[in-house]
Amino acid sequence: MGNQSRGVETWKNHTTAFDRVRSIVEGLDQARTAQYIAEAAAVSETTAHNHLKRLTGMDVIRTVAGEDATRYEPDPLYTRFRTLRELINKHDHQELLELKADLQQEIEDIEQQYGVDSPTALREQTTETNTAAKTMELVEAASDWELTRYHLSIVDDAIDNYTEYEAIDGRTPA
Amino acid sequence: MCAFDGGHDPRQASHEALRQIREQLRRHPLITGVEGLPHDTLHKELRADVDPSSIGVEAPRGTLTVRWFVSDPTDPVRFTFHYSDESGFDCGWHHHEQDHVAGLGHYQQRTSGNYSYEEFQFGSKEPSRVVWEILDELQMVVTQER
Repeated sequence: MGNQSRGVETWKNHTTAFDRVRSIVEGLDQARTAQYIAEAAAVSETTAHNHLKRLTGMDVIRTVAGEDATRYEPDPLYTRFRTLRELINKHDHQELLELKADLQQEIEDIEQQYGVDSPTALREQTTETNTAAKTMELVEAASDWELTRYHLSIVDDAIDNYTEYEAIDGRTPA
Repeated sequence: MCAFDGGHDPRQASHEALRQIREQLRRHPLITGVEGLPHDTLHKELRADVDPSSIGVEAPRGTLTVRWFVSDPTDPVRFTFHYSDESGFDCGWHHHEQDHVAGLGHYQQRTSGNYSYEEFQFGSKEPSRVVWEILDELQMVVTQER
């Protein structure tokens, strides 16, 4: 099963070239060339170059010098601030404190379930597993743990600076 | 503080991959709603409501559950797109270690209580594009299952 271009025509019918370039480059897990991004986004290389230049100017993505060609990757600060903005939009200070407690509980649950104190220690256990299913279970749990830590760091940022962000936002306290 | 400031951060990549997947799911005509779990903004999993009648296919409504895991840059990305509907039909397109077929990419479908597996070659492993590929596959599978 599988086809290199399956779904691409439907994707093109429901999105613009800019949408596709933006969604590909914002979802990258490593810096990639314009040629790679063009192919993944089903656009010409010229179109990809134009949109990547625009996105770089907007600070949505950033460039990384490569040996052969310029590479592009999501701007980590922009990505973080966007999540922070979503949190501030959706939650007041009290709700953020409750969200923090939920995230801390999720981490404690994983710690207790696997009897280790870090995602790294959990990943190390994959060298001792006997089945692929167990390996995948540990990889999932370690990834969830790391992702929850990342989420917690953003919630902490929102809580620590809530008063200042609220003042900048021009909103009255809830 | 973020432990990966200034470099590759697999946690941020996982978060952003799910965010992009969510945006693409919202645009697809098969999908009538998407929610993030356990928290809508800080999600580790996505659940999308699938309504085949929205594209003219008479089949039960179902749920597509998506997980996405980025780890070390030298490690392959792992992900699952798993579908089940109101009639008990259950299948998924996954990319991770398993003991049934060669490679990581596979399609699995439950029949008589057990899963059967076959290899699946993903056209791309970029999150947004995988969404459209899998929903195209899903559309074909639910149409055939009627």
